[in-house]
Amino acid sequence: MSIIFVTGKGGVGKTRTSLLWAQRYDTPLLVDLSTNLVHEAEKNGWTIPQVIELKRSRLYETFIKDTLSIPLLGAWISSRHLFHNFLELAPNLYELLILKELHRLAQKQDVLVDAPSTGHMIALMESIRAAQSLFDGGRLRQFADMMSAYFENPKNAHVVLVSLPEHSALSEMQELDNYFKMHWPRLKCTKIINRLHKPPSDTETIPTEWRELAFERPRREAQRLTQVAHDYTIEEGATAL
Amino acid sequence: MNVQFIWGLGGVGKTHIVLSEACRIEGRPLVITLDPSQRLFPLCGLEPQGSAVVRLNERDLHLKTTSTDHLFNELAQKSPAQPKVRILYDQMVKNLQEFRDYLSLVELADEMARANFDCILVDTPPLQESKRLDRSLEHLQTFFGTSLVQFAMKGSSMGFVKSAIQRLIKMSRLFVGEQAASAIFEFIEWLTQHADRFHNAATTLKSMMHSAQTSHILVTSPEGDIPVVVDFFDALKTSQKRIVINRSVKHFPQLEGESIFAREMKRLQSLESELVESLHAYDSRISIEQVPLCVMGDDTKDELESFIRLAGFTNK
Repeated sequence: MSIIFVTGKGGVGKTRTSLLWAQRYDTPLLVDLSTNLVHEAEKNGWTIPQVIELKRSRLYETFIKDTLSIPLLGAWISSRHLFHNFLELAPNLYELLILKELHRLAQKQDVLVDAPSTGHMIALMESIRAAQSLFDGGRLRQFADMMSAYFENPKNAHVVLVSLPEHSALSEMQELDNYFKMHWPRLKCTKIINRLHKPPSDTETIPTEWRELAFERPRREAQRLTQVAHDYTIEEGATAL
Repeated sequence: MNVQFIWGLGGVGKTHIVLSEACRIEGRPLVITLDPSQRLFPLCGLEPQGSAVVRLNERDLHLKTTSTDHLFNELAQKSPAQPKVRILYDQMVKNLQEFRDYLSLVELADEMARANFDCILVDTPPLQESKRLDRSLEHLQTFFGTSLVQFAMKGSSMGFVKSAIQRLIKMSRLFVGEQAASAIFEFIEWLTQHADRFHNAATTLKSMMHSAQTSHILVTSPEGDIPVVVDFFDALKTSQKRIVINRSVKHFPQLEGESIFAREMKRLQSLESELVESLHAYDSRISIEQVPLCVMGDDTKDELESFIRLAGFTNK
């Protein structure tokens, strides 16, 4: 059972692409990290798949409950406010808690995550390596080691990189690709170019004001794509992968 | 000195609009980016760096981003740091976005205090992520204003305080190991010596955000989610709010036919008029600027300068 991460520059259409992918490959469960998958499905009139939203506050609550249940510690957290305060500032913790939950969910079925955009996606994965370099022991370190091993097996995770046929987005897709090749080389990265435009057919009359947009835009997009290896393209307005 | 925050969802063209605004403003502008991707620099043909001056359409613009090295040195000058602390600081800067957020907010507050420019334009992270920024601001305030920090401050000799800290350290060991737990607490102790600085930065920024002198610009596209836009304006108490609809199709003539192209454009045009109508209905005083859609996507400096000219951002 694997975790599928869908990521890319902000605004490329990760949420929409996540829904299309899940539809195409029958992914049983989708995870929403505050991107509102359900709203996007409703907007398009698509059937709503099974979605779990991971809320930051819930993840922390669960972590605190688990901690409280550790013998002796429960009694110690008398100044709970202090502990809360401290937790909220542990920057890596949120990312590790997300990974923990994803790992748990993936034990039972394939899970597709509508993941954060480039920088935050990298931070999500880096939380594992950061924990390994900062922590010399303890539960969080154990968990990080386990996740690191987990991502050594290509069966356990898959990365879907989404881009637009525009330079900035393509450049971030390359950045992500490089990052994964360097630090998580066993994981497969699939590249999708979204919102591709086709030129109108010859039979159409296009008013002058629209001509540049109608013809020049698709031409330049096609040109950019010749420079970039990719696995799928999705046309503007397409409703299937 | 006035401050302008420019907000927008990912992909609407915020970076282009920020630089366009900077070119049209009177006086000396500073553009400071809180966006971790620092897209401002490559768009101007520069490598991401701490600060730079770029010439755009005959204006000299000062660009700035978080300079964590500089900040550390400043802090360390006031109270020296053990090598362990520096290592942890560097690690946290390298790996931890939230920590970089804190630092960039402090730098922003510093710039505002220095007031070397006539106007500061703040390029924010994409709206989806700026909740995080808001949270960082809250944390900065809370952390440095209350409990933990005051407990850890040197000179506090109260027994119950010390034992609370001892508990926390013991507990942390369980999660991060012995050495890490002690390094982290040393780091926090060092950081708390600068508590005032961080606390003041957070307070200054909070009041700045909602002040009458500050303007907020939301950049959207014709497809912008109306509730998101409305929520955004609701959250800001200042009255100086503007919307820029980038990639506007308002000025294009009506298209006939049912081709894919015609349908796409008609859809965009109707979305845009809906957006404008909703905004007027929500608040008739909101000023809306519509910047025409043009063929772009190479993201070069030349393209940027053309955009600034064509979009009418020069000499307003």
